[in-house]
Amino acid sequence: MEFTRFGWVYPGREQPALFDVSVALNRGERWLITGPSGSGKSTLALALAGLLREDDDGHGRGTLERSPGIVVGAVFQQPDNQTVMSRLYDDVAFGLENAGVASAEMTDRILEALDDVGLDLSWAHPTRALSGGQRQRLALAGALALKPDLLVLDEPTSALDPEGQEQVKTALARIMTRRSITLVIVDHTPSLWWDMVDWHLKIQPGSTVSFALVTGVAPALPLVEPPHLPAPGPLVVDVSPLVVSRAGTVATASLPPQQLHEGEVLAIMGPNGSGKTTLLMTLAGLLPPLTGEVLLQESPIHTLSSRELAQRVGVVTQNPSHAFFHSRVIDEITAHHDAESAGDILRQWGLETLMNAHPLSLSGGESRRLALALATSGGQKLLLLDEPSQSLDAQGWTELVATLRRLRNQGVAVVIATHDARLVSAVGARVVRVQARVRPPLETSPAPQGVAARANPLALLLGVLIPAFALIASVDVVSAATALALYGLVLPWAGISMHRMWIRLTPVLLASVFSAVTIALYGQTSGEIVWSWGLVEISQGSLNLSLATALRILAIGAPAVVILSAVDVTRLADALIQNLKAPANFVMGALAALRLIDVMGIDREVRSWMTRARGEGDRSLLRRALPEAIWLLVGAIRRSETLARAMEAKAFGTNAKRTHYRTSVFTAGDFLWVALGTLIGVLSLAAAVVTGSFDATFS
Amino acid sequence: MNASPNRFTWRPRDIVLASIVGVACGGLFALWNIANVPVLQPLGALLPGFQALGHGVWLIGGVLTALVVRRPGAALYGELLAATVSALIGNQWGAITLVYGAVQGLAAELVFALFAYRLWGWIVAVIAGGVAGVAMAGLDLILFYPAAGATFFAIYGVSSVVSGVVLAGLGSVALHRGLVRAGALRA
Repeated sequence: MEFTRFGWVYPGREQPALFDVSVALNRGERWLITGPSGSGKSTLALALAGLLREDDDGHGRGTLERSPGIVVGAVFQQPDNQTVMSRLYDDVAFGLENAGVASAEMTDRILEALDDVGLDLSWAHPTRALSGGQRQRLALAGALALKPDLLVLDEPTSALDPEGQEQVKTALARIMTRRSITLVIVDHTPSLWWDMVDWHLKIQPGSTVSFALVTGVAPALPLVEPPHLPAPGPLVVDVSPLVVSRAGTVATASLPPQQLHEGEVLAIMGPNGSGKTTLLMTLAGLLPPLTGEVLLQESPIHTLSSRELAQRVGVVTQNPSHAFFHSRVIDEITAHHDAESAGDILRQWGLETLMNAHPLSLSGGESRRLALALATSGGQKLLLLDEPSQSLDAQGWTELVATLRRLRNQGVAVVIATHDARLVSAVGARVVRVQARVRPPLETSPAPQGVAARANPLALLLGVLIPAFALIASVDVVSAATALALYGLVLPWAGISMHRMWIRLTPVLLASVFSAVTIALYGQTSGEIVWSWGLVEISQGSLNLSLATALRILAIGAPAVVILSAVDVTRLADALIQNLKAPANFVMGALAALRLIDVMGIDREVRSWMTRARGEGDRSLLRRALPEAIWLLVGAIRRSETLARAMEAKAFGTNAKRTHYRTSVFTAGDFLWVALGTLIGVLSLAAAVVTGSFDATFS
Repeated sequence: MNASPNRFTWRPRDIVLASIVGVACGGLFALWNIANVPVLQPLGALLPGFQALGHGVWLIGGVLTALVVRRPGAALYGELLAATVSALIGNQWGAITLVYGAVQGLAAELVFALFAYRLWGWIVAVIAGGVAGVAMAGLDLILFYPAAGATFFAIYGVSSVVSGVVLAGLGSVALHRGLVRAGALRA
């Protein structure tokens, strides 16, 4: 690949991200591209991966010549945003399907790729149960399955803990011994990859490029002088032996008694998943402890009101945007300060030019500064930070250390949850270690047994929708009751487990009851009138109809709910594409977007903590509805940008004829399902006609 | 928003964006259910049709996705996907929710089609919301309330349309503007 005076400008920006770069990448070379944030290194990586499209992504200058027909694989920074499918092997197969690889070849390629990255798990292992390191290796496997000539990795370990980083490094080393691949790694920390690469390309903002052979020792990380530790001040936080747990989980984490004084820094260290965040949030008064107590200047911290908490405690989350609740930066600050101090705060944190910008539109560094400003400008005596140095480049890291030192000298008590040992020593923190704990086994719903497990999901759906259409025709007790009775026989026989179905059926049950009440009050009047007032007219007729309504809703709704729980979404997608010929790109796009539901749940949890931490907890939900909805959507769209790139890197959307890893057939048995459902509908209506209770809906 | 040479073609990233918006709207539906339904549903059972004033939320999937992606089929796809997600998370209609999504989405889609997919401002959004409200009322009245009296039908129908206009139409416009201001729709 040869770049000649290559440049790139993103749409809507004045400054080019890359300017006048001339380098050549030869087969078999191994490059490391480093540079600070904003230097354009990610843009260069995208250009190498062939993922920058003219017009869509911006405009290019100069020329980029690529050898024809090379296959490129790409892995990006965020582990959560690159997973497309819910089961392990399916996710690896995604790229193969898009690239039109023959179905017979797929399994071998998948096994080989997973072996190369060392992921030795079952084919159906849920991808949402994977750790960060495992997910990145899965992303690698997905790229490898395509047998790439070139592998481009953009900060593949920035978002991982040390254990995850090791996993990815080991996997990559193994890959390089087994396959002949040209390798390009983009990162801001050279030391991690120094022994794996031959060439080092350094980019500075303004696109000054220096290119050299890799020799000797990696460029050292910035030196940090040992901190001058101020004498600790008065007691801020007193923690008795603490046991904490997150809502909905059984696992617990514990902390021995602690005392934290002004000017002290406490670091909670441990691998991801060990409970650091839970402990941090409990110390912040955002989660109630299971046992023990956290006293903030003598009052129990989790009994403080949201407003009080915001004035006395500052919290900065891993994703700073969880702390933003208004539509302008200035509004975030004036929520707790008057206009005059707001100006000072903006200047102190370098945010004056962003005064009217939307907080969610800020860059990573700007967001972090705003979150820190909000957490410290009110004279808060306690500051808690969750993994503050994750993904920071050298300059960002140095600034963070300087800020933390300054705050500590000002008498703030600081607690950090982190796995960054350098940060801990640079700020002179006292360390408390949390043990890694075994992840509780993932609860999966019982797989459907029997006939339903093998049926085509389309057949199952039709088997319920057709009789529903039939039942719509009449509002009477007999047809509905007959249908319910028949379903009661058929569904258990079909192997659909009624276990835990009651939770799922509660909404239908409630809906049928409430609708029955409505019909009793406002139904068609006939017969003796029992009571009337205003628009309400309860009559003999409306009471009969109300019973019929309740049963009808149950007969239509309950089977529909039960059937949906027996449908596997991936198999439904396969049936839509292969049997109904639905457009594959849309169906697969929908499947990929569904991965988001799991992540959205976690985001919501953190958001609820920060709502309390920022003093927003006392505002009514109704007033916050619109901004919260926007916040949710923005977060989702941001995540989707990486997802879209990852999918495009796996040939999503190319016009190659798409093949299938899983086959979906519509068998004779499936036709019987549909026939059975139709029969239920027919019999129910017949029963109503025969007994004379048929009461046409449309009359 | 970047103008593609042909406003009728879907690029892969348009598909991903529409999918994400659809799924996120489904999530919003689920949150709305959790937050409000326990209170609104029993109260609404006593009303002669005005309970439909709150139902426009369930039409946002289609209108918003169309405003964000601006391609043919976006309204249908977005609403269908949002309805599917809310059914998967758990609601009272299960598989039938797919029918709701398709019918409501199609109704909104027809409005955008009527304007040749050229107009994406608040007027079209409001009309689309209203028409989708008609579709929603139709389904609700056939499935839930066929036994109700004529007055109930009228109040419910009008309330659904008003809710569609305000919550789905103006609401989607407000959400879209918020997204643009937050810089989420750069490319």
